[in-house]
Amino acid sequence: MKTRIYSMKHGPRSEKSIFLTYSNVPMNKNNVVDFQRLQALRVKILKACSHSNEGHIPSAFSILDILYSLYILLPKTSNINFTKNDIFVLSKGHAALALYAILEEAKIIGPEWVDTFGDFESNFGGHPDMNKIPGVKASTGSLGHGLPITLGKILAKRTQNIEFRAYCLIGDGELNEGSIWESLMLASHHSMKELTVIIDSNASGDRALNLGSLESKFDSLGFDTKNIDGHSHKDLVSNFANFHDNKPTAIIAQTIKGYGISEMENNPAWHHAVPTQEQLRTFLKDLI
Amino acid sequence: MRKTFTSTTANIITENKNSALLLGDIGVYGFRDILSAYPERAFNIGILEQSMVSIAAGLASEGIIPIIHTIAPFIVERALEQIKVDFGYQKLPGNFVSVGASFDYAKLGCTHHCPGDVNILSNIPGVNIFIPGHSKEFENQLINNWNSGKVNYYRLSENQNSEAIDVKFGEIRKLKNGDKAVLIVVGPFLKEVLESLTDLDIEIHYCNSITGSLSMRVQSEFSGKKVIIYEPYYSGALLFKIIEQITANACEVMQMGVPREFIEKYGTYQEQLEYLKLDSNSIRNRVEKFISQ
Repeated sequence: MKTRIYSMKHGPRSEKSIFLTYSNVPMNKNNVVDFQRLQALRVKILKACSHSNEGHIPSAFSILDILYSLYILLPKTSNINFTKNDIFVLSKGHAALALYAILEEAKIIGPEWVDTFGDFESNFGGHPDMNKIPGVKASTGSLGHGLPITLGKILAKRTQNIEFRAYCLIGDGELNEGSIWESLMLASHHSMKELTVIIDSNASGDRALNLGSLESKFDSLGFDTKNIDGHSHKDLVSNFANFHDNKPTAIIAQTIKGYGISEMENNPAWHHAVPTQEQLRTFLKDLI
Repeated sequence: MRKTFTSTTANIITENKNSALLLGDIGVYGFRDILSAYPERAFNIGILEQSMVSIAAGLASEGIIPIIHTIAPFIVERALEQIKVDFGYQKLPGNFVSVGASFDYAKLGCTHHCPGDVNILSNIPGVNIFIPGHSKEFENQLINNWNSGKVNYYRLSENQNSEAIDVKFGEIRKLKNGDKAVLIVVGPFLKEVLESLTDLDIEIHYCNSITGSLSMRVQSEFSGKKVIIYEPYYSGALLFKIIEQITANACEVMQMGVPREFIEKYGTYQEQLEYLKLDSNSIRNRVEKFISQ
């Protein structure tokens, strides 16, 4: 059993240090059945990447627990179901493999994405295409687009007088984009209580800009801000299901890039790398 | 044209629940009644053009057709990637209405000029471009196309022709016969043509749109005539649409568009036209010289 205290690796982001995150032992914090399902999804993601020699594996692993909690666990405890009125937009589109895995798990798409990922005629590319894949609400890939698109969807849904929630997942590196801050201001100005912004806080942003306390920034913009363990299903589900009456919600999900495979975790060399066949065999052996 | 834009858009917003207006903090006073009457569909989004365009795409993705408005460079050049990806790539409908054209804001300088807009947007597959020469032409264009399911760009000008021309989308309409050359003029530059070139022995054709995907055709026999293209922006967009006709007839071409240089002068629109040799007298001299060579 490997134990890591991630506060040691995330000096500039003091908010991270509130969590002691244990690599490769997620069953400590999550249900064992869910853990096994997620391991199976990780296997599929690795196989898809290996098939196409393409993919952002660590980014996908970083958000897998978030999407699993949102699509699979939340509907079991609330009336939120993404096949109906609710919206999810993956703004950090390069984590598409996680979205494909979860869409299959939620039975919105079939299993073909694994064996066709990145193929010439495939519907499943390195970034999601809303005109090709059921359940994909925006064709993201260029960072900074998904959040304002979500805001537009909220404004449109409001005219329909229906109840809905909108979730948008952005990366902490994506917080470099000016359009994100424009949109955060707009969400607050328009009192978008229907919106939950999930920040995948995996320290990607620290490579270029030290943004300091995200919590205080989102607070100051008028968001109801939560800082949680982004790999804890219990924390994720409870915060997805609860929101403020008249403010947008921000969930700063503290995550580990590459979560689940120790060699990849917080290792920038793996950001856009694909495992060799030997590495794949080792990783699959670890996961299964 | 701005008043026509305000009144026509107000009618669209009033009569159609599937329409929305997004202002980049421009035209707010003119739209004050609509902003007040339809706060759920009419917004002064603010001075954040990138988000404004993406928000508009979000509205379009849920069936609300947006009309987006600000000064040309801030929508076309600042938010270009949002137009390309969020509307073009995602195949979403929307209407972009700009003011300022190439150098209507002559006294404000280069930051507010946008002679590149038509050519830039021509590079996004499927974008239809409207360059009305008269407010009545724009009114018809907006009414007929705002809900066409396409990405439409309407380039409003402060200067306009004395009369509207009844010309269809993508049509290049012959206004006058002649033997020595074929001149095609776009949008508000027809005014200068009618002031200075009608007595020359040249065909005069007019158009006020550049199609995104459809072809365009000049209704001329050409028969060895020289071709002159007179455009109120950087040259190129129209020639690209008719190049096969031009090459098939081995025509010699002169393009009279806004030169590709920063116009580091102020003054009036007319002074800039003269400086760029695009005014009535200058184009007369240029055309006469070209057809006599």
